[in-house]
Amino acid sequence: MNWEVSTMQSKRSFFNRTLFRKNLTRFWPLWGIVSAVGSLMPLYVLLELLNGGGGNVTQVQFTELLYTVAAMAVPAVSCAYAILCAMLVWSYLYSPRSVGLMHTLPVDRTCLFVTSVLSGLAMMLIPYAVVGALTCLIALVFGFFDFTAACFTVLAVVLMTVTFFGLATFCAMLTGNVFALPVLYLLVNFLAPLLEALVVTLSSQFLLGFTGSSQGIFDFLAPIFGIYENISLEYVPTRGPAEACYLVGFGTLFLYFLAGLALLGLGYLLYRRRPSESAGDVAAFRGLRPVFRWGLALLSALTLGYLLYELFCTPFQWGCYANPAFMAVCMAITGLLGWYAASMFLEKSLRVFKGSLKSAVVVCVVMAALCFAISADLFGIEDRVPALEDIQAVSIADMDLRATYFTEDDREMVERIVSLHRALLADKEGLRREAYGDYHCLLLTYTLKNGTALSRVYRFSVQEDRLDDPASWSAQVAALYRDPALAVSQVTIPDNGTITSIFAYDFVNGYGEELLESSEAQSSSAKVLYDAILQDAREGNIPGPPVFPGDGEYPYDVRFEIEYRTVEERGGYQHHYDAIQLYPSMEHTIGTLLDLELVTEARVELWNQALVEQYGEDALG
Amino acid sequence: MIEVKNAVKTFEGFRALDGADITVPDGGVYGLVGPNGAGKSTVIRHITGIYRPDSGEVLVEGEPVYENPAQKALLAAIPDDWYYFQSATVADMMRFYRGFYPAFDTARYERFKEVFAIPEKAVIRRLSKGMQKQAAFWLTMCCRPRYLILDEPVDGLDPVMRRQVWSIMMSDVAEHGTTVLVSSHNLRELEDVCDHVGIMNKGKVLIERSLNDLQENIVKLQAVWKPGEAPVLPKELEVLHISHVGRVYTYIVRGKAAEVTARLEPCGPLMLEALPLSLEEIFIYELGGEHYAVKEIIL
Repeated sequence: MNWEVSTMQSKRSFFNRTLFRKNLTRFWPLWGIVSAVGSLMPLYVLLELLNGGGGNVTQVQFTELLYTVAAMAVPAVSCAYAILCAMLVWSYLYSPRSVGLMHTLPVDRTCLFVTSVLSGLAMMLIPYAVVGALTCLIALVFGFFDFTAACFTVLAVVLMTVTFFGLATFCAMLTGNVFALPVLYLLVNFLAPLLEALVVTLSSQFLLGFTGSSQGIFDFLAPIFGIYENISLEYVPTRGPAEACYLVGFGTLFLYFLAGLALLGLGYLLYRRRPSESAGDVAAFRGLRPVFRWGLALLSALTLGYLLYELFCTPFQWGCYANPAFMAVCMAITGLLGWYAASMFLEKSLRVFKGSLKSAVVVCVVMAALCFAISADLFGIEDRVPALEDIQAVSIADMDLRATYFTEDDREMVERIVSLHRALLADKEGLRREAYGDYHCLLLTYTLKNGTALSRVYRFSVQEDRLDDPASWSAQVAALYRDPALAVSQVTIPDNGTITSIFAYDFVNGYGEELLESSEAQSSSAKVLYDAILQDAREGNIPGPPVFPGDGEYPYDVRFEIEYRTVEERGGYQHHYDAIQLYPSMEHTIGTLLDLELVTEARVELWNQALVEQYGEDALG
Repeated sequence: MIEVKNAVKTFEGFRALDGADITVPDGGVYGLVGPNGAGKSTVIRHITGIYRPDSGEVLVEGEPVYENPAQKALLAAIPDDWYYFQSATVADMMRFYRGFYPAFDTARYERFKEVFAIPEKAVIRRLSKGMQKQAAFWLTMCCRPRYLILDEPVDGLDPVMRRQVWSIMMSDVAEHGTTVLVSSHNLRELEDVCDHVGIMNKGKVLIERSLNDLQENIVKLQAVWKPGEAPVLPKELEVLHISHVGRVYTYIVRGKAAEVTARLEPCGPLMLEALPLSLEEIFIYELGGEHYAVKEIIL
């Protein structure tokens, strides 16, 4: 035999058909089962059509079905399915035996990588192709197939598939252990929002007013969050009887797709450098070991440390705020626990304590320092009050006050709220120790012009002896809550809003009796009634929230529900819902109800009697 | 030719290869021997392109083998723990190998069906260890490699199949000039097939010679001395080991048999006889100098 001829490699190969075929045939149970489960959807559609007749289904409904699946199901399915596919196609990297075979084969790593990635993508796309083909076939047969919608759905599926498989492949390159891979993938998928939530939660234990609710600033680093936040269905009225339906958010999908491609590229570079002997190790590269150790120590300190504090140290804290020293001890202990757990995973041994004293001390010091840094409010979070010119809108809410918004057009109200905020901060120590009770739980939320939001919450009871001092926060709270502007703001529909319906319910008899049902936006009754409510608000007939316990008026068991929609900047509508209680003082509203003959005088008398029975004679003022 | 030049490989502080140098000449059988943990499997994984050396070079026909498909196509290997896909049959694995090795000989695969009595459609996982090893040989030999790399190759094979397998390999060596690099602890078997031997210990190759040279450079002498006479040997002799039973002394001496005998004759032994050493004895006595001597343990 002539060796030179038979073994000579003519050109560099980037793809190996044998490996591709082998991957698909070896792992067919996964994509086969997913395809079968996915096929239940078109089957369900078919049965529905056969039962109900295909004539009722429109092309718009078919489009809506495709887009709903693309926007609601595909992101979650792709996210979960990507890791399963990655675990299978990269499984050879996690056993010394299999990596020995694959890396002995006469192909280079570029070829192995490209072939494995294409195998994984094919495994991900086959079920979508099966489900999509069956759905389209049904649509064709019943005559409501929409080619454009099908193309956009395919595009969305491909973009999301590459995004999540790229991320899964990147994770697969970082570890040498098949069980560590899904954990790592889960962590990387949600790491940024998770860390933000943990730091914010911990900060809220120390910082006065800090709400402990994440801003979602880093949500874009979690593809599943980013996609769900940006992809949606949009309905646009058309000249015909039906609305047109569109899938929006392709810009975001495309950005994540590019990120997925970048991660695939990074994964390729890692694979080129990946040592085969790392098979079975938690960290595939030596440089990742300290990252893993410190990462696990930090996560452990932020989660278990907080838990430990809640379990054992809450009796030692000031008011509702945590004691930094005790929290630091808890974080140091649990950080050390995480550090040693990581070491055990890395060394695959329980004997990791010998000679680790210096590292242990460093971990404890760092974790305690982190705790003190957060509690010391190094970034001045407690004292942050937005400048007036930066505020786009502010909302104020309390236990008995639903969120009420004031935009920059209500300059005076915005100034008063900012002034109240500053007055509260001037009395920080008293509020921190809850020296003034906790009847109120005031939530201020600023929407800033730079697109961010700032929320603060304060617990206190208004001090009667300070009401005479207009600069005190007690006097400012009382004045604000008693201002009719609050009620006006609550019932006013924004300029870009249109009322879609008003309902009035009477619960006096113990059940919701419908007084008015108006789903017509231009219904004259609804419009008259809404104007009456607005007039009552302007004249101060709708009482504000109680300033003191037992303060304020008692409402009738009658409620108005106003639904309206606003036009969004990027198109489409957003629907809103407001509920307003009826008070005896709302004379214009009651008068309109009588004028419209929605209620009778006897009914109003019944309401009064019910109020007196429940709260006494004083209830009617 | 396969060359390993000053290869170093460290695993978490443990130096598995510590400047190993190996030269495997073409067209012969090279036996790589050494105690457990000497670095034999590690060096084989470097030669097959699985591991990249921390420093040094691993060359096949003068070209680095790591990430070099052209050079790797010249090699086929049977590791001590051969991998096959979970539900694969011999036929499945044949198709897999055929897709990668350009010289894969399908006709030979068909012919070997009679040699290896393994059902082609049987799932390899369900076969006995010996039959799995046969399957490995069956497929690997069909790759028609120019260099055949074997790590503990005949473990688990019955004596008849061992002879059969060696016979196939030796005929490939003779007819096609195949080069075989074999790592094994079965020194008696290696002695029958190897032309060259490399002895490894602690990540280094201590000795690398042809088997003939090796056997000619070390000699076992049996001498009988007069009663009560303490045998005093010439100082210039490099004696690796001495033992005696009564008046019969056995010496392992480095050097050619004729020269060593000539130097001992003047000492006046009653009887002096030079005996050839087996590879196993050479292995034991050579490594004795590396603090790896057989310890006489009495419990």
